[in-house]
Amino acid sequence: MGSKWSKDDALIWLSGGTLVLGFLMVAGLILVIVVHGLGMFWPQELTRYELRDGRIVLGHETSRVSVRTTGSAGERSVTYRLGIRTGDRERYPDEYTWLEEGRVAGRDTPREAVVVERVRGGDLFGFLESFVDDGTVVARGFEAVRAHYREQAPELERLRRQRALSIVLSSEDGRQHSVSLSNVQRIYAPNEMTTWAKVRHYMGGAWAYLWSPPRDENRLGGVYPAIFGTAAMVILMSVVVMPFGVLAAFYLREYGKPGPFLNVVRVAVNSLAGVPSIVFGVFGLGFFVYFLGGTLDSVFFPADLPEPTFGRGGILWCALTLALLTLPVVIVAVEEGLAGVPPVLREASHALGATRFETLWRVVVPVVLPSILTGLILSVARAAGTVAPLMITGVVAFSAELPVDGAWPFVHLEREFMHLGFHIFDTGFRPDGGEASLPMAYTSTLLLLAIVVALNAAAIGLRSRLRRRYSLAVA
Amino acid sequence: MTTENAPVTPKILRDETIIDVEHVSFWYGDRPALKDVTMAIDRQVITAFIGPSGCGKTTLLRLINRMNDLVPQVRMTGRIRMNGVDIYGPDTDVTRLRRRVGMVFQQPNPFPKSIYENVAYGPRIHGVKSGGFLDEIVERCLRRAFLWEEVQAQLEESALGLSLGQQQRLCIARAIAVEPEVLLMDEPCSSLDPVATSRIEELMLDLKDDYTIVIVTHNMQQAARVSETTGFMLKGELVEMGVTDAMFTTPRDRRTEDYITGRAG
Amino acid sequence: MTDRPQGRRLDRRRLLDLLVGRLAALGGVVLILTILSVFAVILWVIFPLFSSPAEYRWGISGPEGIDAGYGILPLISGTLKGAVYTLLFAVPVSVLAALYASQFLPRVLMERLKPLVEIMAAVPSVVLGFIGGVWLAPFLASHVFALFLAPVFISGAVVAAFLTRHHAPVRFRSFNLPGREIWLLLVAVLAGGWLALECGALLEAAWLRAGYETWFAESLGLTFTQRNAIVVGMVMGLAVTPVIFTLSEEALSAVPRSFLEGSMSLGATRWQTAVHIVLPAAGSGILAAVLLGFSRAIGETMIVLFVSGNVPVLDWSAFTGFRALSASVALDLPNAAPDDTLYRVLFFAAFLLLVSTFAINTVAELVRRRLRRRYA
Ligand SMILES: Nc1ncnc2c1ncn2[C@@H]1O[C@H](COP(=O)(O)OP(=O)(O)O)[C@@H](O)[C@H]1O
Ligand SMILES: [Mg+2]
Repeated sequence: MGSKWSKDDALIWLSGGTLVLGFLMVAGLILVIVVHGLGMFWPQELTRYELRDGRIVLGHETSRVSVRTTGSAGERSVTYRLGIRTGDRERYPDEYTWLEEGRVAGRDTPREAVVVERVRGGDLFGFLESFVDDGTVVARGFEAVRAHYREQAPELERLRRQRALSIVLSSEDGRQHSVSLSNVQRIYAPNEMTTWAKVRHYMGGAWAYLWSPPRDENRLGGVYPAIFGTAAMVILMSVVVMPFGVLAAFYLREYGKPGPFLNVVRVAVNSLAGVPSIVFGVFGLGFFVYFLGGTLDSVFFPADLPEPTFGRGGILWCALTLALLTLPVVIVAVEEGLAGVPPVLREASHALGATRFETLWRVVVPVVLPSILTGLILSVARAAGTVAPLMITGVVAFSAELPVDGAWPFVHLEREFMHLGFHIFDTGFRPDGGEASLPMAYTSTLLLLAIVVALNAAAIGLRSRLRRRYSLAVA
Repeated sequence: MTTENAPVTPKILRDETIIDVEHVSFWYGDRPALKDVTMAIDRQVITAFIGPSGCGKTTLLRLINRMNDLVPQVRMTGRIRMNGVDIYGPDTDVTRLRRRVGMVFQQPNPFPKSIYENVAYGPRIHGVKSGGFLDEIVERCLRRAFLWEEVQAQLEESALGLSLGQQQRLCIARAIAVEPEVLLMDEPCSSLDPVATSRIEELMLDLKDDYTIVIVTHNMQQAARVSETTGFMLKGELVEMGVTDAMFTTPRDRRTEDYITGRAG
Repeated sequence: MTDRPQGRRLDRRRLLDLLVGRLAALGGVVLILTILSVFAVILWVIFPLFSSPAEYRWGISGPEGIDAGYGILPLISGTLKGAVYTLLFAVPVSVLAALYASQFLPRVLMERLKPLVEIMAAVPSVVLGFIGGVWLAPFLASHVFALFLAPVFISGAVVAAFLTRHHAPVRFRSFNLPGREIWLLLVAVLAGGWLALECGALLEAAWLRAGYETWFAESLGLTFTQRNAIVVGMVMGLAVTPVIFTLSEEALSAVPRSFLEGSMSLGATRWQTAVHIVLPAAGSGILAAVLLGFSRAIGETMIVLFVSGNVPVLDWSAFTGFRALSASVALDLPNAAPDDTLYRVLFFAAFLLLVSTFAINTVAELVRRRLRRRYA
């Protein structure tokens, strides 16, 4: 083994290192999302921090960062700051506070500390003081109040309307809050929960996340309307893009006359596939929203003008925009399928006297059906993950109405709607730095990632099964 | 187009021509594939075409059922008539023509469907709906192709599971299910082993009473075994055509002799 | 018997055939109209701009009447800055990785890797942008020294791993089997990264008086912001790496084996063959891949929104952010009244993106086609 060899082999290893590095970086980022996203519903234990100056803070640690300082004499020191989630928005803007670690004199985790999730106004951390019914205190102390609360808890929904019952909570420094039961989402004491109770709490939280509407400016609650809106928009889009995509692919591979013109069209489709999504959004705004929508308004809804009906962003325009965006995806997938159908099959059918259409319908389509399905799945995955064009064609951070509901005409194509991807942007990109909405953003990111990866994995699986079948047919 | 009454290569055996090819030339793009081919094919006779590969045998065959319509940028001159009617005439319905002129390909190419559906495909397209009648057709054709015994228990299974020889017989059954008059076979045995090949040859001899068979082969023994008339092609030209036995024993053209005796090719 | 069409059934068959043929042609026409209309609509909106002063199009800061307070030139500069830093990260990583995958990785492993790469390519950019802006940017901003050390340390660890394997006693050489080195590489890269973090922390203790902002200002005289071009380059680089990797791998694998054998028979090593024969032979394909990556980076919106800081600047420093055309369109178009100048200027921004990406993609596709024909 000469030295020449080993030097060259080391270079091979280095090139292999870049491959591994790329994978590791993506895997690392995904791991961060998974860890943060899954942690959202796990009940965090509450810690009581006693500071040297006598101040007391109740909350749970979310970060620990180092701070470097240099004194006047040039001596260097590193101190650490703890980021504490404290709840109670009135006192701590953003529900967070920083503590100098060096100034923490002691910490403990009091068993009776509770989290009160409120419908409005964010979470409160503290200790149960008393249970008040119409001005009279009916119970005092942790156990008694909790017993009363548990009695009422199953009927919380009904109590929403009746404001007489309330719970008094004292915070760590003795201040008292009175919370009307009508404003209570849930109360729990994380420090005394068993692991099993935590698991149940977790499951309940995850369930509520999927199936309930958001609260508190998307910081809390669920993403049901966003999931619903995404699904509705994607379905609408598929209804438009599939027929056109399949027909266009049939034209390119089966009916069009092969020649320079078809080649130009094919290259153009390919280039279209690489046009940035935001450009489609701009086109959608100019053409669908203002031109088509404006025309529709002046023809069908002149009574409502100048208030636009279709002449502003809405789910239909978003769906059409994304249909345009995913058209090349469908075409490419179906074309690949058509190219894979052995020409001898078509010839055999023609030789029996079948017309072009009969051959297409009875021989070709059954074979390319999985490719069409693959195209559908891939376009759905692409559409579910695309956000930028929607931001200018009709997606909103919060909407009280769903695009499909019980009111005539049931499907409201003109409505603005919520979208999971935009929900991530909204909760993860607050100009004021809003830390409070980040847990929600992580969870929604994880959900979106899971959906898109699952769809793509399905498409890949389908395609590889398809390829295996061809190889069998050829053998 | 060319002249009407061009001399036709000598007719052999029964004087009952079904297909007349007159001065046919053919180009793929600019490349000539056939040069002024003139010949006649007789009814209920097996006609074989031999010649080195690339000489235009497949092209000639595919002109007879107009399969070359599907190839872009081709050009043809001359005339091909079936039963006296120009098959490239403006009134010809291609699908009807192809129904009357069946084809079996070099590679067995069953559809990725069940055995039953493969045979039923043609009749269905041409309007046979009733299940009972269809069952009858399928059984009759499979029997005719010597395949029924082997597959009657697995009619609903995929045709792709059959052996290559069985697949080719299935393709023959599929072709005769639309009741063609002529059966074109393009090297039907070239991908088969000797046993499967002899079964196909047996089948051809059996079918010849009902169909006019045109077979392309580059296997001279096969041509000698099954055909009554043989044509020899070279570089797009039909060098000579005549009674098979005569051709193999006393070829008239020098080039034919060279090919048969293995001196060229 | 004649071949003339007979009976109703035949007529219906032909009619259906004709009808579906027309329908498919209609699909084709719609397709072509769609492509044309994207250009037409955007041109239509920006047309009035061409009769207005050039500052509206090329201004460095926005002329009066545009309330966003920026001109389009800094946006173009920002877009290009983002794309260039992206390629600086993505090209070496993906081309080297593709070279390795196509020449040195066993085919079986490559087949297993492909779906993974495809899924990586499908990760929505909002996901990458979010994690880049919220987690990676703060993390890197507090580990700058480690970031600088990482390339050196990781390469060092890989070479060390190679030497260990090379000089290990024969009975420990099971890693010698083709493809097995991947696992050793995994450990090496992780170890290199960890070492870089540790040494970065040591350097911080030795050199940093306050935060990195101060250090950059005092020692280098540079502005340092948390959301900067390096982070954009890495995150957007991860987004375009699968694209460049896949296409480069395709081009590299298409180089005929006979080339390799010819080179090896002359006594060249595997690496020499890969670098001197395979890489140049696949050159145009790799160029096409890089072009596509560049075009993707130009138009990428969500990642830039999250990670670039969105401040319009003209500088090209690695440690400051920028504002891109795409991000401006996404942020400001919802607030622009139709037909007002800002609206048209943003359409003009979109037009620039459309024309440049369409042109780049077309060139790349033509190059790919030529290559495919050459080795078909
Ligand atoms: N679809 C086609 N396009 C272009 N050239 C073709 C095509 N099919 C056959 N050819 C050419 O025509 C000539 C005759 O081919 P063919 O009829 O297949 O010969 P054979 O069947 O005798 O081997 C060959 O030179 C072949 O290359
Ligand atoms: Mg042939």
